[in-house]
Amino acid sequence: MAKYESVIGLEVHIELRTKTKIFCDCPADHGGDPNTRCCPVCMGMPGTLPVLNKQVVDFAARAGMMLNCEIAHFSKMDRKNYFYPDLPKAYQISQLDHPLCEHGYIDINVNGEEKRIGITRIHIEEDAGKLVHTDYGSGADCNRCGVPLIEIVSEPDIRTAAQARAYLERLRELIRWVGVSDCQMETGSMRCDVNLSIRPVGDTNLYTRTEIKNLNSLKHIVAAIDAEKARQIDETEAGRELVQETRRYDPEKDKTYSMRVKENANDYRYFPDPDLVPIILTDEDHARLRAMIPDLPEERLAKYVNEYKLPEATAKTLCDEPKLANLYQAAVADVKQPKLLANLMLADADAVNIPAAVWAELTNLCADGKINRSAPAKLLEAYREKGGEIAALVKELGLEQVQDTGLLNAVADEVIAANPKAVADYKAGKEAAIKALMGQIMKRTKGAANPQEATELLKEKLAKL
Amino acid sequence: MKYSEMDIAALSALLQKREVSAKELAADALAAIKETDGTIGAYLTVAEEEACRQAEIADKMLADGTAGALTGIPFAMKDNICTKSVRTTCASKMLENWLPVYDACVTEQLKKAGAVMLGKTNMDEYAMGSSSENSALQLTRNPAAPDYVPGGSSGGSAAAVAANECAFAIGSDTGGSIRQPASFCGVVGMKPTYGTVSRYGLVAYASSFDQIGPLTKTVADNAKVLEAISCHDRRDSTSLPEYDTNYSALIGKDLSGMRIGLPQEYFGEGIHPEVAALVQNAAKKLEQAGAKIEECSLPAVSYALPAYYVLCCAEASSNLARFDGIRYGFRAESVDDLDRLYRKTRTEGFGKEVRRRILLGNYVLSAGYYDAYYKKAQQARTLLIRAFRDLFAQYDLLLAPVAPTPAYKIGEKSNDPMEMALGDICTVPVNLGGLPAISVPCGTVAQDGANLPVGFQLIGPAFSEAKIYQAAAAYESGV
Amino acid sequence: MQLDAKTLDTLAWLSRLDIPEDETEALSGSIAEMLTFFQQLSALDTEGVEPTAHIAPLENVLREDEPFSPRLDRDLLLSGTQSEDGLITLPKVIG
Ligand SMILES: [Mg+2]
Ligand SMILES: [Zn+2]
Repeated sequence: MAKYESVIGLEVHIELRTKTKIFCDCPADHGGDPNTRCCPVCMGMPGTLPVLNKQVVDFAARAGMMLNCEIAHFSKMDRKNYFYPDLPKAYQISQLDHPLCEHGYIDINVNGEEKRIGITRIHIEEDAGKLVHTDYGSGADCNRCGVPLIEIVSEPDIRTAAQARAYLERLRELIRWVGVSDCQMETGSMRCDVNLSIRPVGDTNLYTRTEIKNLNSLKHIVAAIDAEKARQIDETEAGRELVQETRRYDPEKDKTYSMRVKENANDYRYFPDPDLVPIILTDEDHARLRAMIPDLPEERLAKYVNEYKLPEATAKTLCDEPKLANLYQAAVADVKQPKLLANLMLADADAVNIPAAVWAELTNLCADGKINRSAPAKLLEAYREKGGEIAALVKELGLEQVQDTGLLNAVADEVIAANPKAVADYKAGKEAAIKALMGQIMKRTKGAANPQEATELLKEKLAKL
Repeated sequence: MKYSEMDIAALSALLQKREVSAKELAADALAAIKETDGTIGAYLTVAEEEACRQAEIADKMLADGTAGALTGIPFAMKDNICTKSVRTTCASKMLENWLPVYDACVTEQLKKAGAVMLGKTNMDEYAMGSSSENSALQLTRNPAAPDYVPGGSSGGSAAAVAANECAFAIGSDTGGSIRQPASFCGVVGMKPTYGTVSRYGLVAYASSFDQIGPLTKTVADNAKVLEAISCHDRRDSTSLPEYDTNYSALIGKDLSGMRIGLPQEYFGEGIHPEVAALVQNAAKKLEQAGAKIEECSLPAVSYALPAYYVLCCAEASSNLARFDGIRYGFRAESVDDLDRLYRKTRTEGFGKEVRRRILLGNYVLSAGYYDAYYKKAQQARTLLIRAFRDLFAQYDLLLAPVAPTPAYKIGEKSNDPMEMALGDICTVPVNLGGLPAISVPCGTVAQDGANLPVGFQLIGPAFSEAKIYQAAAAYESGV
Repeated sequence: MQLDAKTLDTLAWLSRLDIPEDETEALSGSIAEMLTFFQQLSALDTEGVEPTAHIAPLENVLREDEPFSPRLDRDLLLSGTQSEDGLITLPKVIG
């Protein structure tokens, strides 16, 4: 029996995180009762027209840049015509011959083996609605109609299920990293179709392929690839000819099934959408978008550890959350203590919703000893409540750290005089006793003393006793 | 003179002087419709209640000094333009009972101007046709000669103006659908530069051709209505940015220095000799008004018609796919299979001509035929645009017939779609180029005891509406 | 130019139309006639000529990613539609 390898190309649809839909201003996020997030435009009512969302173009181009694509200077929208009840206009507005991005790649690593997977193209298009199946028939919900998608089409460079998994994981990481989608397969914001054919190892031709649609988890994708490869080998070995068709994977039976679509059903009769005008991206547009592209996550991690001297664990925690990492990146240039910045940000549960400038200011106030370590939490709380300038909040809340050594001196003397037991304990070698004295100092200064300075002062005074 | 016979300018003067109220005008117009529309059949829907309500608003505007040129003026709207809560049928069984949930941009503009909509006018189904005989709902007769067609597809709008059933009407022009019925009925009809009037709320036939425009009794009225309905609309991506829309600006100025070309291809074989003579006569009048008239040549016209039909059928096949019985309009009964439901609904809901054009459109877009038909037609379009551009380097405007013949008898051509299509030869080049053009009445042809109106066409480069109105008004005042 | 039964059948399917039997002959005849008419275009030299897809002299007509129009409620949006529990009702769809 000949040894076969599979030739796999993936088509990945990813929802872009815009506020509004691609061609109308309905909200684009998930949720809502059926047909409450739609309007005459996305419901395809007669007479309505599409207007392209600028953010969709920007996000898609940024995704393309992250995936090493060339970005078009001329792009346009086309109509893909087919009837289905989740598609109100009976055409999907998509892109045919002038996609926004082309000729990219992703580098993956499977078991120590490096491999480059080509990306043929990335185009923008609208999502369809949802069909709900009920006892009395089916129902259509247009809430998802017109949600912006990018479709990322890979070259048939993938050979194994493991490579497919690595490609998808890396793709997800990069798209999340560039901040244009959350890429969650569970909620459907990332979806994958698999194109697969087999050939004897060593052969370089392409043979009849099948497309497996609607795969909604990495686990199913891997299993479906193995199942379909096995089926194609069985068919070939049995001398039966493979047909180009769309198939569905049944995870319970671990098998793929033909979806049997009518002949001619796939003549989509694409043509340029006359309701929309061309998209032109100049060199300046490219440069503007290029400036928004972060360095790769692993490069960022290395920089945090080597340059900013963050502990590896801290750096990883930051980089795992692209929004947090980007915020850190935006603030770090203006701070003197990058590590302190990281610690402050990670101590806050909702750090991403505080502007970078505020983080930088808080870090520098702490680093300069102008406020103490417990002050940032109080300041953030006040900032969230009423906003305003951090400097003003520091004053308003009385959080300036006491730097008046005369005052601190006097307080320290008072505390020593008032706590003979703690003083005696300390002198007897119980170093922890100093904590009680410190507590008293902080209490009397209402937390305004610089703890480091106060400790040193106390130690000095106690040594002289 | 009766109110219903007056033009906008005269009515507006009376309204401003409080010699009549908008409410009285509306009542008068509705009475005129009751009296004559039984024989004409211009209206599919008379919106009596809405008209009275609008008239009240118009009277308030007149009272508080916010009135404009169209405040209180009664008008008719072609039935492919959405009017919230007033049925919008496209003269199709498919949308016979459809109530739009929103107003078209044009509808909004006219409401804002205080104009009073009397109702919705008959047309060829989905604007596909040139005689209004393709309406699935009603027959419209030519007010000049009841046995004759009013032209189409905006036949109801042209007939309503000609029969004094409104002071002006709104139509849409994809391949001549404003200009040709204007010519047949003897009124003024303008198809403006593509993008001048928002298409938001116009039920699309062929999106890259469709353009809304006014039908009026006079040239000056026409310019006023276009001023009211043209605007930049953020809901239409093909809507032009704000630019100078003072279309009346040049009316009354003499034509000295204006160069007008007479493309010989428009006067060749197939043109009714009396029509050609009337247009030539109009050219003489324009010359007397100061214009310089010169014969010229536009050979590209010869492939305009096939290119037009390929492209508009292609766009229509896609635009009309949404009418599938699921979300709005007609749904075939007792079908429980989805594909059967689609096919039965669309076969029963669409008329013959609409179905024919959908089939043709799907043919020219389908795999293997796209390059030979669709792409080729788009290239032909490019060549025609270039040819026009070259001619407009030498001429301010072009003068041509609107249609090869005057109106024909009802039923005469309705069974020969090809012959019907050939009648569009003079109008479609303008739509292929996205250009503005007007039809102005220039006499009548006597036939079987009827006097059939004929119009001439003035075509200009993009944004030349003011100049077109200038020339048209100069002709009109010389008649 | 002839239009064979299979081509007409395919077209009817793509268009989601039935061709009533009594219309078949006239319809295929008139479609064939139009297609022949369209073929006049083949005589045209279009070597290197860009196809015109967009007639308005515009590019990059883009909208900010912000809501701007009033939201219509579901009852109104579905007012002309057969619906149940806020869903547009359809025959049973398999898939
Ligand atoms: Mg797609
Ligand atoms: Zn919407």
